[in-house]
Order: sequence, then structure tokens, then C-alpha cells
Amino acid sequence: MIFTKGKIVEQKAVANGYYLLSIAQPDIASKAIPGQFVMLKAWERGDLILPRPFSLYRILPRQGQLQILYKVRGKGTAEMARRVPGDEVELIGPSGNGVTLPAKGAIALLGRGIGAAPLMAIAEEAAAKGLAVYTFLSARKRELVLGDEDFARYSRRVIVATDADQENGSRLLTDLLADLLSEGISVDRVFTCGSKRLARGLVPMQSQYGFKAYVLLEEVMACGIGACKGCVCKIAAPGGGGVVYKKVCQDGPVFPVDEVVW
Amino acid sequence: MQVDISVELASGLRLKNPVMPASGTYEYGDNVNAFDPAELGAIVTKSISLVPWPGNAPPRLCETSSGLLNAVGIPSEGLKSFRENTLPRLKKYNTDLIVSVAGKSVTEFAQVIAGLEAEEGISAYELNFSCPNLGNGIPFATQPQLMQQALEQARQATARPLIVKLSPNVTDIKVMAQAAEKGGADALALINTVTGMAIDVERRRPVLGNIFGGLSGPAIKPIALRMVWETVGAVSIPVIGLGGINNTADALEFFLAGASAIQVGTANFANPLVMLEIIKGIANYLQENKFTKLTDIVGLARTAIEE
Ligand SMILES: Cc1cc2nc3c(=O)[nH]c(=O)nc-3n(C[C@H](O)[C@H](O)[C@H](O)COP(=O)(O)OP(=O)(O)OC[C@H]3O[C@@H](n4cnc5c(N)ncnc54)[C@H](O)[C@@H]3O)c2cc1C
Ligand SMILES: Cc1cc2nc3c(=O)[nH]c(=O)nc-3n(C[C@H](O)[C@H](O)[C@H](O)COP(=O)(O)O)c2cc1C
Ligand code: FES
Repeated sequence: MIFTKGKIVEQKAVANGYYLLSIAQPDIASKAIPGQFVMLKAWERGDLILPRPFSLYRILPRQGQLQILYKVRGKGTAEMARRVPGDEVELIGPSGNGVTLPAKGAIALLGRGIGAAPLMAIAEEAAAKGLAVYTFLSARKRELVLGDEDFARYSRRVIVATDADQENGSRLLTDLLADLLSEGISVDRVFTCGSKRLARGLVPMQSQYGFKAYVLLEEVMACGIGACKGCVCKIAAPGGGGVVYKKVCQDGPVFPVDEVVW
Repeated sequence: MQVDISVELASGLRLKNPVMPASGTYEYGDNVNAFDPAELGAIVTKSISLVPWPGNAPPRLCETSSGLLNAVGIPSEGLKSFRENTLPRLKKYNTDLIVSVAGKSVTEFAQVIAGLEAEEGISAYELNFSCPNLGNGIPFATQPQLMQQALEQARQATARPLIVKLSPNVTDIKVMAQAAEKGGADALALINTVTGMAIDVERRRPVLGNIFGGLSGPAIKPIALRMVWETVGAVSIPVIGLGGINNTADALEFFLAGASAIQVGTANFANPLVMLEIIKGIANYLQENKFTKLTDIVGLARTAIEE
């Protein structure tokens, strides 16, 4: 575990209340893998005592930088949005297990809203490994479809659906994935983030289309390193019957969709 | 000039420094420590129960102003797994090891301890009496007689030092402290978390899966300090102070109130180096103020008002 400081290089508003934060932190950038996250604290306020977890949107070891795509939700993220280039933030990480990509073939990424954040790093690494990437993004409205231009660089196709603008008839990303697969394209692995409904929808599709699907889960965290036991999610007990609690920070945040009990 | 920051918590239990992690707030192992845990005055484990406990349903955490509400509920791997999987790892660190023990019945504490007596390398047990007992659903730590009974059984199960951890959720902490002393405690640790809750106004329901949780962090420090002060005045065994300690100055307040050692919990989450900083900070403070040993400042704020 690395506990260190990073310097903000850029803070860019990407939509109303959504920002892309670039941080110079070479040690974490050289160690992190897609799907991992950092605990970040960007304030000195004594009333905000915990760091907050954020996925790595991009991992840039050559530049020694990390990028975080975030949505202003409460006090901590509101403080983050006030920081400017040159300011320092505290970081703990890289945390969590990250994803395992297949050696060859194709993957699909399904992101809802801010759930696009961890998928970007996956797309970039998959493309670098020569995998075909199909990206599906949805949001309430077009401006909240995040990172689609970045995704386009690493994806064979980026398919977008929005609720408000009726793009793609506001269809579920799982249905749009099914459309793609019925064109004769096959994918080996699917990663999703940002919507329980999408993750649940992928469960029955696995056997039908022959892929393995994983979800990146979120839970409120205190430590991010497995110490507090606070971030648990429900996982089907091995051997069936009952539920066990697993720590999202240490056992996840990536879980097979069929093991999660929603 | 070298200053002596070691502390004696019981006969045969001298810690190299007075700083320990609070039970349940610190992990030990590969890739989770920002410094070598051997630097700690002692390692304190998460509370261990006789059989595995799953813990409470999520959500388990909610940050409040200057505080953290947790309803983790002591998930435990249970005695057997602890002995086989966790204990061997913890013994490797070159510092004292304190095993925190939890139970739901008067006999359970002694049973867990009995199951650990054959193990070498355990310096002391800390008894966490804050979970509700199965009989009446009320925590031991708020019922002096029941706590004393459980403690007396634990006392018979071991010759190792016993540290009793007290809950702040009582009318008079002195009553509990004296019951623990009578029951055979070698030292006391206080405070555990303060019961509280939070409600989500958008969803119009309690935030925590368990409805109630325990408040920790800076918000509870004044309560903890007052209770440590009262306890030190009421018993003659050493007191370990904790609750909201965030830096060296916070720790010093507890020593000046009469605590012999301190523990740090919630502050580890934001600053994984905080305990190391406090260990160094205490030594610096003693040096700068021309004290030769930590025990010179223990309780000084008490004598200040007596003069
Ligand atoms: C592994 C992981 C990766 C994450 N990655 C990203 C990311 O890349 N970009 C991003 O914008 N956000 C991400 N999040 C969510 C982010 O951590 C929260 O939005 C942030 O902690 C909110 O802090 P705050 O102080 O602004 O809000 P608070 O004031 O703490 O809370 C505001 C509201 O948000 C809710 N909330 C707080 N934390 C979470 C959470 N973890 N999940 C769901 N609801 C929450 C609270 O219950 C409350 O209702 C991630 C979370 C996890 C666990
Ligand atoms: C997430 C969490 C888990 C805890 N688990 C335990 C536990 O297993 N046993 C115990 O005796 N106390 C437990 N505590 C209480 C702490 O040890 C400590 O008494 C309390 O948090 C006050 O100290 P702090 O303000 O420095 O955190 C826990 C506290 C937190 C925040
Ligand atoms: S956040 Fe503390 S155990 Fe996961």
C-alpha cells in the first residue's frame, strides 16, 4: 500500500457537476491496474474525516499521472471540485483487485452514468493488448454520457443510449449488447459499472452468449484496505444456500455478476 | 537525551511505547501497512468470538460531522480460524500482541481465552464487553454485575494480563471501572464507540442497516477524555485512553488526564502513518519540555488543579 501525496495537474469540468481530475503521482501510476481504485482526500477540513474511494479512469505510468472522473455528490466531492492545479491531495492505493483481461478475443463494457469511470482504464489496457472492445454507455441525458470520445479511441464501437433524448430508444445496454451479439460478434468477457439493473441483466446472458460478466461494485468505505470491515456486499455462499459478506475494497471491487446477491 | 516512552500496563507487560491501534481499525500484513507494525507499542487484534460471526447487514458506515458511525457488528472468523490462520501471521511482528476477545454469554469470553492459552506469543487479552449479551440483549459493558461475572470467569482461565474495554454508553463510568477492577482486570481501555444513528432525508429511512451504530473519531474525544479523567480518579489500575485521537496533541491530552497508554482507531483510515507520527511526537514533546520519561507527564493536568 502506498500512502502518499499527489499534485493536481488539471481539473476539467466535463459536464455540469462532473469533473476530470489529473494528478501527478508516479508511484501509484506505475503500480496500478485497471479496475483498481484510490482513497483520496483533497481537504484539510476537520469535519470531513475520511478519504473517499475513486476508480482510476486512466492510468498513465509514462506521464506519472492518474486521472479520476468524478461526480459531485456530497461534501467531499464538492471540496474536490474546488481544488486547482498545483494543489496537493492525499492518496492511498492502488487498492482492490482490478480486472483480469482475457489473453485474446473481445470484451464488452457497459457503463451507466459515472459508472463509465473505471471502464476507461479497462478499455485502454484491452486495446493495448489487441483485444476488441465494444463499449456501451448510457445516462439520463446526452451530456451525461461521459468519456465517449476517449472510449472511441480504444473501442471498435461505442454505442450510446440516453433516457431523455430517446437515443437508441432509451433501450437498456444489455439489450443493445444482445443486438450486437446477434450480429454474430462474440465477446469473452463483459465488465459493467454504475447500475445494478445492468449487472443483474447480464446474469442470464452469460450462458446464452458464452461470456463471463463482472461488475465493479461500490460501497461506502472508511479505510479502503480491508481494516474496518465496513464496505461489505452480499455474495452467494459457496456451495449454495445463504449469503456471505465480502469486502468490496479487498475482495473486490470486481465481482462475477452471478455471485453477487442483489 | 533519550527519553523513555515505555509503559508498564501490568506486571510482566511492558510496552516499548504507549501507542496501539484500537481493536477493529487496523490490519496487519502484506500491502496494507504504511509502516512496520513492529514499531507499535503493541498489536491489538479485531475482537475474536468463539464461533464465526457474519457481522451486520450493510450499509455499515456513515460519516457524520467529525465522526464515523459504524455498525460493522464484530464480524469474526471465530476462534479456530483465528488460531490457525491469523495468529501465526501476527506473532511474527517483534512487538507485544494483545488479542481482543468478544462474547455473547458470560462463559464465552473464558472459552475463547481457554482456546488461546496454549499459544505462545500472546501478551495480554483485551475484553470487548460492548456487544449485547444473548440473555437480555443489553451490552455487558453497561451491566456491572454481569460484566464482573464474565470477567471473573475469564480471570480463572488465564494468568495473562486482562485489559477490560469499557463502553461510554453508561450513566456512571466509575461504576463500571470499579466493577472491572474488582473482577480482576489488570488495566482498563476506554472508550468504545458512542451509540448513535443517522437518517437519510432523501430516502426517509435510517442510513445504517442496523439502524444504530457506534460513533468514533474526533467528535467523541471530549467525551472520552472526560471519562478517562473520571476513571483514573476511581481506580488504581492503569488506564488506556482512546476515542477520537487524531494527532500527538490529542494523545498528550489523554496522558495529562492520567492515561498510561493510548489507542488510535478512526484516525488510521485517513492517515495510515498517524500512529508512527504520534510515537515520535510524544518523544519530541517530552524532550522539548525537559521530561526524561513518559510517566513524568501522566496525570499532570490532575495535579495542576490540586495545587
Ligand atoms: C470502489 C469505488 C470506486 C468509486 N469510483 C468513483 C469514481 O470513479 N467516480 C465517482 O464520481 N465516484 C466514485 N465512487 C463513489 C464516490 O466514492 C462517492 O461519490 C464519494 O465518496 C462521495 O463523497 P462525498 O463526500 O461527496 O459524499 P457524501 O457527503 O459522503 O455522501 C453523499 C451521498 O452519496 C452517498 N454515497 C457516499 N459514498 C457512496 C458510495 N461509495 N457509493 C454510493 N453512494 C455513496 C451517501 O450515502 C450520501 O447519500 C466510487 C466508490 C467506490 C466504493
Ligand atoms: C470500523 C470500526 C470497527 C471497530 N471494531 C471494534 C472491535 O472489533 N472491537 C472493539 O473492541 N472495538 C472496536 N471498535 C471501536 C474502536 O476500537 C474504538 O474504541 C473506537 O473507535 C474509538 O476510538 P477512535 O475514535 O480512535 O476510533 C471499532 C471501531 C470502528 C470505527
Ligand atoms: S473500506 Fe474498510 S474494509 Fe473495506
